[in-house]
Amino acid sequence: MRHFREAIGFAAPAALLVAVALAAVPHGADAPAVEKTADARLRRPIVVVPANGGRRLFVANRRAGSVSVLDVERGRVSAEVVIGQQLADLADAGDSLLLAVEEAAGELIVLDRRHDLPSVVGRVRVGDSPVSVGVLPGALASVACLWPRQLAVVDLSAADRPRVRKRIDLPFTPRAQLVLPGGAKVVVADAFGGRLAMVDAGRDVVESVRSVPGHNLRGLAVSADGKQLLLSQQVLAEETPARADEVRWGNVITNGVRALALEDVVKVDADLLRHSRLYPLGEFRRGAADPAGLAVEGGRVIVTLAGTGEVAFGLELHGDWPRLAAGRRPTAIAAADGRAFVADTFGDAVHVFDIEKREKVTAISLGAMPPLRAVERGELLFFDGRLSVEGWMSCHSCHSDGHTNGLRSDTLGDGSYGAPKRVPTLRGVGDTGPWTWNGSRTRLEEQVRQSIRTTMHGRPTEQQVADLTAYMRALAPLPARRGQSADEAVRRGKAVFASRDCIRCHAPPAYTTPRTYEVGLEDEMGKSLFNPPSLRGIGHGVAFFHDGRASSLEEVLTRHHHQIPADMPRKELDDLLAFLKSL
Amino acid sequence: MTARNLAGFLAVMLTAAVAQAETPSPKSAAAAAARRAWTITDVVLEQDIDPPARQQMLLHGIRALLRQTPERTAPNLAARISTVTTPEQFAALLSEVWPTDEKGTKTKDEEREHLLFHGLFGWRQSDEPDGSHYLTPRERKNYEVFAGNRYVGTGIQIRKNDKEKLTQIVIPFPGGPARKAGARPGDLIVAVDDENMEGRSLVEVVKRLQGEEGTRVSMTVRQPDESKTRRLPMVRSIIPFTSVHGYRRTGEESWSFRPGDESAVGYLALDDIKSSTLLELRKIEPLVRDKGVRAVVLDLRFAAGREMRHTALVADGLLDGGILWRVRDTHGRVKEYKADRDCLFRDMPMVVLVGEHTRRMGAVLAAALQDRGRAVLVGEPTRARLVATSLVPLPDGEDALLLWTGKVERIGRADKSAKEDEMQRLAIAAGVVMPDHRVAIERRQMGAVEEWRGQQQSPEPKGDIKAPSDPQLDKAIALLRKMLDQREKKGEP
Repeated sequence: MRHFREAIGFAAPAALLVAVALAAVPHGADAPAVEKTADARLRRPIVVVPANGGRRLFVANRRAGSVSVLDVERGRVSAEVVIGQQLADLADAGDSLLLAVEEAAGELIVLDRRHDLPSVVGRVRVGDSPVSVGVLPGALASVACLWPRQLAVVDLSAADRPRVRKRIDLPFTPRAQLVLPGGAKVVVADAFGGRLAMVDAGRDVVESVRSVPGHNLRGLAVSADGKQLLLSQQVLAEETPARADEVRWGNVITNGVRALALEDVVKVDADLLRHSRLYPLGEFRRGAADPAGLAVEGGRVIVTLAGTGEVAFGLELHGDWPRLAAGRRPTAIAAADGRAFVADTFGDAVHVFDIEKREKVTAISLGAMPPLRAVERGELLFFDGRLSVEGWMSCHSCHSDGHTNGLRSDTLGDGSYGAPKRVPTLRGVGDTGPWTWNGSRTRLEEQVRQSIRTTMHGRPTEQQVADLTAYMRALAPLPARRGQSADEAVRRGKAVFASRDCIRCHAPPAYTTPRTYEVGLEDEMGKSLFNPPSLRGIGHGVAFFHDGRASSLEEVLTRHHHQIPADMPRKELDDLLAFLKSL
Repeated sequence: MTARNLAGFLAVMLTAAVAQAETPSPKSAAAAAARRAWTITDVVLEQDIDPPARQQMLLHGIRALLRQTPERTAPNLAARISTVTTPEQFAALLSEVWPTDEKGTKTKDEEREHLLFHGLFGWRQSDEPDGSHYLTPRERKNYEVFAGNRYVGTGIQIRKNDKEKLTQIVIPFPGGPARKAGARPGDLIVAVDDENMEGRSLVEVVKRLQGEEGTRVSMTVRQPDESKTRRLPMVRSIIPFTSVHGYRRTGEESWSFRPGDESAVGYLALDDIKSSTLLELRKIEPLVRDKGVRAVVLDLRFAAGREMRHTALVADGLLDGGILWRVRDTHGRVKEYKADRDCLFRDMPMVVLVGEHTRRMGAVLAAALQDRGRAVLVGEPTRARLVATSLVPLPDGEDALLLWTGKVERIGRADKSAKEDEMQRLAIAAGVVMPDHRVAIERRQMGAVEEWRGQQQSPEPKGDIKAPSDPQLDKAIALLRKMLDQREKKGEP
C-alpha cells in the first residue's frame, strides 16, 4: 500500500482519504442539498457501480480522480478516496475487486472494496488514454485505449501484479465496450463514428469490424431476452440542411436506441444491419439530445439523455419513452434490484430511480462544488442540448467530446445550404483562426454564436458565448498519431513537406494559415476558396477535405494528389505520410 | 386533412390585411414592377428546368393584370411583347396598361404587382396543379410554416354557417389548443374573447383568432341544436398537423391501422410529405408492429408534399441503403440521393397505392420504392411530372419563387424481366409511374374514399359513415395476404 501511496505522488496526502459528511437528501428532490464543506471541488462522476443489491454504490469521479462510496439507504457519501488524476471508468471485477481506469497516467488500477474505504491493490500501465474497461472471465480485463486505437488485455490473476497480456490493434478510436454474456467476446464501439468491432479477447483477435449508421455510440447493453444488442447513439443526416424546421422534427440529428440482433453481432460474416431497428427518442417539441448510458432491468430499457438532463424509460423498446429529470448531465447508468442509478456528471450527484414506479427515489450529492470558472461553465454549455431549439442537439452531438464525429453537415457555416461540409475537430481550435471552411470568421466568438444560432437554432447570451469560447480555447490539440522522436521517416517527411511547399498554406506551429486558397476543389454550390485546416492530429482523421471525399490521409496524396505532383515517388509519399502522422 | 381541404383551410386562415400608405406615381410604380418582373424571369430562366421564353412569361403577366382591369386595353399585345428585349422596353409597355384612372395607392400597386408576378407563371399553372409559383413575402412565410409544420394558432378548420350567420368549426384538430380546450366538430363560434361574432365574415373571425404563440384567446361556442354556450379559454400554440394516418380513427390520437378483417395487413396513408413525416413514421412503426401487423399498405393516392428533401428523408426511411434517384438541374449538375441502412417496416412486404391524383412528391417516392423492389404498386398511372421543386429566394426582397429546379431521374428496376424493363423504360420516358397492378377505381368510389379519409381527420368522425368500397385497397390486401402466405409456406418469419 505504501508503494502505491508514493506512486500517486500528485495527490496531497491529506486529500488521499476524504470522508465527506453530508446532510441526508430529502426524498425525491431533484437538486440534492449539499452541506458546504471546505472540500468544495469538482468531482464529475462518470460511472456508478452498484454493490450489495444496490444499497452501496461506488462512483468514479473523473475530475477529482476519486472513488466515492455511497450509502444509498442513508442517502449520503460514506467515503471517498483519491486514486488518480482523471478517472475514465470503473467496473466490478468480482471477488470484491474493482477496476478503475486512470486516463491521465494510462493505468488500470485494481481496488479492494471489502472495507469501508476501497484500497488500491495494484496498478499497471496499459497505454495512452485508456477510456473504458471490460471484465472478462478467467481473471482478464479489456481496456480500450482511445488515441492509440488499441484494446489492452490485462491479466489479473495476481491482483496486486496485473500485467498487460496483449495489445490488440483496432482500426478506429474505441470508447464504450461491452463484454457479452458467457464468453470472452467484447463489443467495442467507436468513440466518435459508427464502427463496432467484435473482439475475441480470449484469442486476442479482432473478429469483425462493421458499422452502424450514426455516431456517438455511448451506451451498450444486451436486451432482457438476451437476443439483442442495444446501442444508444445519434444519427446525423448529412444531406439535410440544418434548418430549424428540420432540426425540430429530428431530421438533422436523430437521437435514438438501436437494436441489433445479437446473433448477427457475434456472427462474423453476417449483415449486421439486416434486423437492425432504430427507435427515435425525440418527440414533437421535445428533443432528446445526446443519449448516453443504457441499462436493461426488469424488461425495461432506461437511457440517459445527457443533453437534456433526463432519463427515458422504454418498455421493451415499444411505444413511448416517458422521461424524468435527472440533473444537469446524466451520463452513466447502472441498475440493480429494480433501481436505476444515474451519474449526474455536471451536478456532482447520483440520482436513484425506482424503475417499476418510474419515479425518482433520491438524489445523492457527492460533495460541495466551488463556483465555476468560465472554462467550466463553457464545458457545461458545450454538452448542453438545451442550448439548441427544443433540445435536439448539443455542440457535442457533432463535435464529439470536442473532437468530431467525422461526418458532414449541411449548415450555414459556409454561407449557404446545399454543400455539406465535414465537421471539424475543435481540439486546438483556439490556434487555428480564421474559422469556418471559407475562413470568414475572424473571431472564435463569432463562430460560436453563429453555430448556435444557425445550426442549433438557439439564442445564446453573450456570457454563454464567452464561456463556450473559453472552453473551446482550452481544448488541447490532438496528440500525434505517432511519435516524432528520432524517427528517420518523419525527419525525411518533414523535408518533403518543406520542399513541396506544403508549408505555404499549412504553416507551423498550427499547420494552417489565415488566408483562403484555390486548391482545385469545388463544393456543390460552386465555392472553391478554402481556409486550410490545421494538420495537427491529422493522423486521427477519418475523412478529409471539405466534403470528406478522401477517407484516408494516404488517399489525399495518392488519389487526389493534393498539391503534389501525380508522379511523386512512393518513398517520398511514405515519408510525407509519416511526418503528417507525427503532427 | 386531405390536401384539398388543407388548401381551402389555408386560404381562409392566411388572408391578410394590408396597410395603406403614401401614393407613388403610376409610372414609377409600373417601372418598379417591370424591373422586378424582369428579375423574376431572369431567375426562372437561370434555374427552372423547363422555362418558357421570357416574352411568354411577360405576356402571361400582363394578361393577368388586364383581366382585373378590363377598362384598359393593349392592342397587339402579343406582337409587341415579342419585340421586348430590355427591362426598359417592358416598363414602357407596362406603364401603358398600369391603371391611372384612380388615385393610386401603394396598396393597390402592391396588389397589381402581385397579380403581375403571379401571372408570369400562367404558362405552367395552366396544366400543372403543382406548378411553379411566385410567392409574396407573406406567402413564402406561410409556405415555410407549413412545410416546417409549425403553424401557430388555435387549430381549427372552419366554414361559414349561413343559416346561423356564424362561423362553424368543421374540425378541431387533435392536439391543437381548441380541441384541448373542448371544441367539438360542428361548434358554432358565437364569440371570440367575449366579442360577438354573429354576422362577421370568416376573414374577420380568423383575424380575431390569429395571434402569436403563447398568447391567450377564448372562444365561446355552442352546438347548432343547443342553446347552451361553452366558453373555451386556450393558449395559441404550434399545431402538429399529422401527415401519416391509419385507416380508422379510434380515439383522440389513436388509430386502427387495419383496413379489413385481415389481421396481419396494416394500412398507412401519407396525406402529406413534410418535415414531420419521417418522425411520424418512425413513431408509428413500433405501434403497428406491436399490433401484429406483418405487411403494410402505404396509400400515396392523395400524398401532397413539395420539398424534395422531405421526400428523400421518407424514401431513405423506407429503404435499406442504395440510391433513391438522381436529380439533374438546369446546368446539368447531378445530385444523387441515397438511403442509409436504417429501414422502417423492415422485413414487411409493402404495397403502395398510386393514382392519377398522386402528386409529384408522392410519385417520386412511389417510383423509388418500385425501382428498388421495396414495394409493389397498385392503382392507376400517376400524372404528376417527376421534377424537384425548390423555394428560390429572390434577390433584394423577402419574396421567392417556387421553381422546377431539377428533373428526377429514376434508377430503373434491376429485378425484372427484359420485357417489363422495356415497359418500364417507356413509362419512365413518359414521366409516368406505372403500377405493377393496374386497378381502376370509379370516380364515385374515389369520392367516397376521400370522404372517408376526410372524416378520419376529425377527432369525432361521424358515426354513420361506413368504410367505402375501394377496389385498389382490396387488391393491395389480397396481394399482401398472398405474399405472407408464401412466406409462411417457405417457413420465413
